[in-house]
Amino acid sequence: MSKIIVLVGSVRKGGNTEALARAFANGAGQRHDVELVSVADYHIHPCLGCNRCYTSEGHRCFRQDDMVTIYGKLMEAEIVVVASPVYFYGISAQLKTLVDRLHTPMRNDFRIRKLGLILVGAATLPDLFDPILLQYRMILRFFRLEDIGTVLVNGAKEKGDVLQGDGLKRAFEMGSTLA
Amino acid sequence: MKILVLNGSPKVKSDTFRLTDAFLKGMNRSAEHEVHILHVREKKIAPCRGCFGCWARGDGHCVIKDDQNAILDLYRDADVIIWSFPLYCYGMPSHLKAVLDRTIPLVKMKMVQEADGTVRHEALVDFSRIHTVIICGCGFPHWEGNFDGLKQMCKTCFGNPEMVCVPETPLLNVPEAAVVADPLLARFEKAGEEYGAALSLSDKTIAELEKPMISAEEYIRQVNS
Repeated sequence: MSKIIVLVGSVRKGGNTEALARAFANGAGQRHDVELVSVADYHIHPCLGCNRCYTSEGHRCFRQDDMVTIYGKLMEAEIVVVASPVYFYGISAQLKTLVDRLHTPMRNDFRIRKLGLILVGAATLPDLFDPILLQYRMILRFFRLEDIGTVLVNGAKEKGDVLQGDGLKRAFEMGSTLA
Repeated sequence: MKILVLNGSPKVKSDTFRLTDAFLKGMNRSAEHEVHILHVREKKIAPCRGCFGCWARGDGHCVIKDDQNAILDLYRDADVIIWSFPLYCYGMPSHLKAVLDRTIPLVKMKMVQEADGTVRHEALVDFSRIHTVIICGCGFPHWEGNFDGLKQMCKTCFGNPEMVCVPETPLLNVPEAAVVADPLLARFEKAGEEYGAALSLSDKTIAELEKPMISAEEYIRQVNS
């Protein structure tokens, strides 16, 4: 049994990203301990690039905001799944804030071995997910993480749109097939 | 021309912005431009809520009342927009990404298909007259793959902007490295002059700007000492 954290990058409660994250959690929850961490529930400031965390005691960030809680959760995680709406061919700014704050030596103590990706786009453009997939592959390579898979859903704009199509099924299966 | 510079560095002393500053100096050599430098770190920009209230409103503004609407006004008025920022986790720093996410009020929900098959939202602004330049610095010694995601993202968001991605930019903050940093700043100034005159940069110029200042081995040695 692995500890899994799903980082949900949408501020819309009950939106398509959250629905897919929950479907994944339902699948993975059969064998693993899964927790959803939604950016909507935490107040996080952007990274200032000051690098004070490189020299501070315990690599503590000078900004003692809700990121402290998230660092604690990630410290326990073995698998992380990133779930985000696609905004301007990138992950949401809220989730990018969280990701930027992971530029800390604290991450050397993380036990994360595997990474997964769930993306939802309102548009149906063929190249919608390409930039994020390029970034995702760089992160897998840099941190030598195993890819547990990706669930990409396009054409989902209004709440509940994701109920159409097989997105929820694919997200569930990504979770249920996780060894 | 009206030039809007979006300085997305969170630092007051930005290495990347030194490059942008040199570029602007070069641009101003060809003509006197109206330059508006906006330091995003000083602005209050909430993240997009994905509510699409802007599309319901349809006046090119966001329903959230903070500093973004003033940026949108500058954005639609500009002839040239320079996005200047360091690479953070293979993308833009989050507070600049918040600015980009919240440019969505400048388009409508309605979609149009171009002759070449590409699909885009119908715009409230004539984006074809806005020229975009991306100047991005990175702390890595070489950039194989590091800028790929960002480049692809900017290409699709801005329609083939001029992009200059520079490795080893922390050297600009090291006095001893002036011997290699100053020539790079001079090249940026010259490139700014070229851009001011032609609103484009040659592949040769971009290659000269993106060339690492020192070898990867030397750079790693310097960082670790």
